[in-house]
Amino acid sequence: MSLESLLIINKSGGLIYNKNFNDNIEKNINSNDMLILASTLHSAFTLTNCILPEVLQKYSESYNDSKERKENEEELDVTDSERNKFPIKVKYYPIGNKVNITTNNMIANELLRETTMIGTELFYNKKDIIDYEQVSCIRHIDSDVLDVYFYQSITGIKFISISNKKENLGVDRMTCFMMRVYSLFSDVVLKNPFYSVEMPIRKNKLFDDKIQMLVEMENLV
Amino acid sequence: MSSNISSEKTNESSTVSQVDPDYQKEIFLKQLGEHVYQQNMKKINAEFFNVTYGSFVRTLIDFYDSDADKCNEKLKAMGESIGSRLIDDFYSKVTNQIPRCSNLKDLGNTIAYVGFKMYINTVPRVIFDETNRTIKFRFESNANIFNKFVELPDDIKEKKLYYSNIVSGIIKAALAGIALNCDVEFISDTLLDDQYTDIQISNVTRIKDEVPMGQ
Repeated sequence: MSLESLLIINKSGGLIYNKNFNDNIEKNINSNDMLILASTLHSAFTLTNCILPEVLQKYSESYNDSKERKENEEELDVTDSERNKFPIKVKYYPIGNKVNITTNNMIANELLRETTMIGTELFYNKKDIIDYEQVSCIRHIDSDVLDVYFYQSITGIKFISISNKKENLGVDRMTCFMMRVYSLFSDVVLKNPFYSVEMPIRKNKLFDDKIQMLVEMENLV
Repeated sequence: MSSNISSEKTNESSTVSQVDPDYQKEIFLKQLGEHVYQQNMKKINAEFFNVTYGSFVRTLIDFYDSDADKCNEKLKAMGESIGSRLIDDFYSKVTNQIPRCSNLKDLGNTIAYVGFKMYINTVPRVIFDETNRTIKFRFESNANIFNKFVELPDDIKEKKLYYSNIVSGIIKAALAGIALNCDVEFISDTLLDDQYTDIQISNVTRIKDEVPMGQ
């Protein structure tokens, strides 16, 4: 029982999905509070973009400097290729705990077969994932009671997982977990033709089940 | 693009290091596309796909009383709603192996070697025009899988219906998802008795305000 809840936030800061893994949370926090929490975390994330150290500024595309603000659109330039060469290495954690997967469990087998982040052969040095996307802003908030981990996809969807202090999970492991959630999200939710992009995910039972199974397989609950 | 990966690879294999970096990038992208296609993509029967797409275009033509312009527009609009979803799928499948594109050549190579390879298993030739700042994807006569089995009737051929125009919409919306604005259009099609099928990307601009915070 280390993961408390998982939030998915869209580009403009609205909460589109949340799942609580601890029953006590739902007694104490209602959905309105969850919305407020999500937008608070989003604005904290956005604000930290303004305090980027000078060394990193040339790598960041979105850095907000009010003095050197040029025009809004710029042509895709051939010369500024060094901007994009700032990879962050993340240690790869495979999906843990294969003990409780029986052959009858359809969802678990589907997950093992389909989740993109299983294949280590895709990574060149087999151990690290290279994360180019997030240069600045928050990855991890460490407090006395809770740990909050952030992962942002290239299109701006944020995945936030809140966990308690019973187990030290680490940024790398949670990044891997949230990348898997991203791959599930793009597979199960976005390919549904009746889901409209950037809107809250409601009544998607398949996604709920898969998330639950993924969390169990990762030993986070 | 992936400088540190390619340099590590050359160190491992201890080859001569005087290789053109652009060429190395191309090789890396080709390998990545092949790898993702083999490992992560679900496959369906191509002929089933052709027949489904064919009946769908046929219905559209009937609906608009064989008005080719409206059909082209509608196909592009459908492609745009597909592309805005597909960009997430693309990046979750390649699992961060490639960063945001920094120049036009990279953009063209990535779309051709990884994108087209992953989704329709054909790799078009990339023609990069330095002076006009455009990219062309050129399919040889039979390489475009949408066109298999298709023979357009004369009246539609005269009105210039681009049969696989959905692809241009997909590319446009997918690039819009990573904060790039561009125009994508078909400029020739083998079904209209041209020699090649050409898709052209022009006027690529980066919209700074749409880049998500933190990148």
